[in-house]
Amino acid sequence: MTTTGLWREFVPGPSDPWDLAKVAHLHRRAGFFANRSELARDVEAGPAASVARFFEPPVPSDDERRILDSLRKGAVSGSDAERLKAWWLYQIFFGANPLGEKMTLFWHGHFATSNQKVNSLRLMSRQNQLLRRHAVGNVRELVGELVGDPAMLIWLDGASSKREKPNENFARELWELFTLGPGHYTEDDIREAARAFSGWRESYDREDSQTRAFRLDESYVDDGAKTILGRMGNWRADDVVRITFEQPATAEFLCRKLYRYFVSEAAEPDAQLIAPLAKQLRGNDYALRPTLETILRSQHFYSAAVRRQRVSSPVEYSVGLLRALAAPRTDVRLLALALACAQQGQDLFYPPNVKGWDGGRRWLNSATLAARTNWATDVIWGNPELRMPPYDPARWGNVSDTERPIETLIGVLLQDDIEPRALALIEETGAGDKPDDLRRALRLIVRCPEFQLV
Amino acid sequence: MMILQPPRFIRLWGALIATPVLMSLALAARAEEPAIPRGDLATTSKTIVSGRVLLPDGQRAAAAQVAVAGHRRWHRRRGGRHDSEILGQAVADDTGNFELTTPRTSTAEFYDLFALAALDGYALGMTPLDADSQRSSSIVQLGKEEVLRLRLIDLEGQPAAGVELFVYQIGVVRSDWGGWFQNVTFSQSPERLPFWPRRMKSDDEGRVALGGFSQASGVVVVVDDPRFARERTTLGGNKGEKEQILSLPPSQIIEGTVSYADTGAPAPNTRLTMRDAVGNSDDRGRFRINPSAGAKMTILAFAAEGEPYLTTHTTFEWPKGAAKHTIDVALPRGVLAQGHVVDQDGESITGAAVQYRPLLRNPNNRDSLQLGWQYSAHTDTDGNFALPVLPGEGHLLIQGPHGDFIHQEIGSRVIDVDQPGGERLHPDAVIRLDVPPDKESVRADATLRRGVTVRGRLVGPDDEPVRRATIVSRLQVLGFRFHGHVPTEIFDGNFELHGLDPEQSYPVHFLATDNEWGATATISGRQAGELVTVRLVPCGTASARLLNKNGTPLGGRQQTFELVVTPGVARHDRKAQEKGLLAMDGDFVANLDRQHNWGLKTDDMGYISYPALIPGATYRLTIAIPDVAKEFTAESGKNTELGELTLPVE
Repeated sequence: MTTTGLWREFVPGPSDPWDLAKVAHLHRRAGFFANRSELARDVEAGPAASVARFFEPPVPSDDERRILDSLRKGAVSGSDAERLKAWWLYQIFFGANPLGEKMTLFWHGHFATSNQKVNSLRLMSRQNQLLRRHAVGNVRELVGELVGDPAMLIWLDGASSKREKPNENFARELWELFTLGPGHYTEDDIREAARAFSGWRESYDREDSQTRAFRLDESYVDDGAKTILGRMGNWRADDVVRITFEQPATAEFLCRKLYRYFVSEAAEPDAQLIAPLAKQLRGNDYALRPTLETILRSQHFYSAAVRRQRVSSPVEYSVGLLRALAAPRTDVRLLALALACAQQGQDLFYPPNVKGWDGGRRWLNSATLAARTNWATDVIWGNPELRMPPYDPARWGNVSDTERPIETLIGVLLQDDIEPRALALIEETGAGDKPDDLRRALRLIVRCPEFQLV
Repeated sequence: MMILQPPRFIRLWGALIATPVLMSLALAARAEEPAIPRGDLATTSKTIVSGRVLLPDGQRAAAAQVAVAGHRRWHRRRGGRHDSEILGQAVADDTGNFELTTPRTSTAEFYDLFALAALDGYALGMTPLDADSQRSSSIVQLGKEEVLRLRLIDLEGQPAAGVELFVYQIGVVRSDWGGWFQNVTFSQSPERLPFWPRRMKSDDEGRVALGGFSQASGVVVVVDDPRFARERTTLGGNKGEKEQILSLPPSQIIEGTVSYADTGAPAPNTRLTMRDAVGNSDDRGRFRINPSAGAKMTILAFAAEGEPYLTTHTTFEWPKGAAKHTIDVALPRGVLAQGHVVDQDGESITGAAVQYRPLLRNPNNRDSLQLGWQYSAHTDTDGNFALPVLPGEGHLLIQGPHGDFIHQEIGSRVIDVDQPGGERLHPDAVIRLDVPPDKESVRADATLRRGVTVRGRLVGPDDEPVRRATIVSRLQVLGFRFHGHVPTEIFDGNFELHGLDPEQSYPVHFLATDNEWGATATISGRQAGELVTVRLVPCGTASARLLNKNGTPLGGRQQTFELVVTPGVARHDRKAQEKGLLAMDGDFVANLDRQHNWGLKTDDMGYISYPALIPGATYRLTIAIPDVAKEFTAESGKNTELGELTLPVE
């Protein structure tokens, strides 16, 4: 792990203690917010244990796996995309691996594949499981498997790529959007790589004859000589992936994107910041964990300068609000949550195009802001149409015996990241400590600009 | 009174052409029931089912409850379900023996028939019966009880407690049908059948335990609870699950009012169906349905029988996240076609199905109307029917209540566009309509012809009766079309063919899948009254190699492979049909013989071999849709080599 230089490890001290603001920041970035008891636990545990918890989640029980499988099968057999979204949100919301889900969401936006074209919930769910399997694993292996992923083959036309007429879509996006970034390859490289990615043919799915499947047919593979990124050989698909990941630009491209996801999207990061991360990623043969640990343990990550420097995505915002408030499981409505995310601009399994969601300030416009407000209103006041009960401070467990409920709410949701005038108004509104007072104060909190940021 | 006569020669193709077999009368008759003629709906009225119920260890099951149930062939009623019918019940005596009487059954009426037996502490036993036998004898073996367990959860993974469900279907695993297939079905728990599981509720953990079955049973349960969408799942079925978990989406309640479009008055007693759920409007036309979950919904509204209003369908997108949605339906007025259906002797026919199809050029037809197979009326006990139709040109297609009536043959294009050609339809009668716009009602009477029944014996190459086999012939009609996937089953070498025209001959195919024996015979309606004998011979095979247009072997490929029952142009060949030609009658071989052909694919080198082909039968391997195919006649004991076939694919 890099422990020196720009990415030196954060060490708490009297002038810069490990406190509620840092713990909440860690949970917003590495997960999907935390409730009061989780925050208190990690303030107590210190940075090392708190970060380690994200990398060593408990293994799901057999029963939990069977429940998930039932939820997935129900969505697939019912051809119900909303239920498939609920299946994923179940894992995000109730699962014990928030970093794994955060990275699954990252890869879904990175390798953006939409069911709009794939038109198979079975294949979309399989791709999602593939992303999850490698979420904090090895990105080179992930890309290697995505080459033959049926949803990706449909999405980027690899399935119809012929030796005689290779389709260039996958090769182009592999470099432009997935690994190298623009400027590191030529059109000739793309043409040559497309030849190496040809050879897929329609096959039959082992579970369902209605689902499209593909197999690599050796007789269809173009195994002739090719020159790819300056290297000549009888390259095939796995060679292209290997050569791609041998390029320093790949690690830099990925680390730059990880930086924006975990640290700050306010400004383009300096090359000096990215270089050590990229070096570490390459040095570990593209295993992600060391690099992610470096980020999440660093002084830089906990500095006030990067806190609340990202606009929360709809999934972060919508899930985060419920998680922070410790909504009881029986009060959560995952279909409503999926709908809220879609209305705010993040329709899971339906990214807008191959570039994924733009993110950042693009998450906020008049329509999506209204949708955020609507979701918050539904959470706070309930919505019978969506079968959502109202927020109940007594039942939802985010009140304290030792401090006033409004102070607890502010601590959990905003910490000290709020302007004094707004804080005063919120405190005044929630001063009565009655449920409706708290609901009104909560409404003010979630409308604060600061709460739109993570 | 039926008089048995010496059998005639049966013409067999393939290896048997040179060796026709004359069977003795003694061999053809069943030793255990020599005096009782087999099924004749016109002359007998009862079937006696007797047998014995055994415990799993072979001991006799005293006091077991027994019932006989089966599915009727032919049309279901408008918006109705195709439930089984309970035909008789009994309790086994101290020695496990039982005997009960049912109304006369026949394969012309039932496409399956079972003896069911139940006893506390054991798994339900189910044995198929020969519907054509007037005196069936069967052994029903109970299984070792294995409690089937289900856990219901909501989409948040929480236990779904207190959820109501019922058993909809109980099936038996048929290994020769690629899984469980045959079943008894009731869309509501039948009060008359005491051992059919009653409605259940999940416990506080969402759990349900269902006794009286084994893992080999296939039990379909349906969730029917206002909090959750209707959902069904199969328990057992040899899936090896200790406890199945079923996730339940929340209900999507559809409410609304049905009215008559011309008057705006509420339409009471309208039957509404959608996504596995059924409801009825009340006397103010109001309805409420909780269907299975989905994003796109279609609701069908069937006016009460006898009312002059047409059936409509309304399709809509479910508002995402909504718990409830309101849809109002207006039923358009039609012209009531009223008629009387009789047989050739003038006897009224009860239960005949009448379907309406307008000509496509009829300007009054519109997309929102639901016509076709879901839209039919049935004759009452006096043989009368009333069915709303459109002004303008169209047809009524009529099918008798069972298969004893002679099917006609007419091209679908005659019905649709008044031109020759098309798919072969096999109604029992057709009435051409041209309804003036100002008419309130029109008269449409029909006469159906009862056919004759031919009985026979099916023996193997060893001249012994064949224990189990199936028959495929163009007499098998469902919804006016030939349907090979519901073949008639033969038990212990006895078969009956119903509804034959006395002046016609029919190619009939026999297949004993277990033995890989088969035969094709031409059976004439003139043979009614005889006991014909058909002798099976070893099946043939066929093999081919499939290549793509570049000459590369096509591995893992399933190609359309059909049995041709009535020759004609390919079913996909619309151009040929538009020239006035009729399409073949046939079905996928995988539907007719799942044991051998289900999921059959080419190997990596593109080779494929089709086993168990019926000698004398014509098969068709499609090379290119619509009209390029290889047709051949299978020969007993021989492999037909089709060679390398180049498909127009890459």
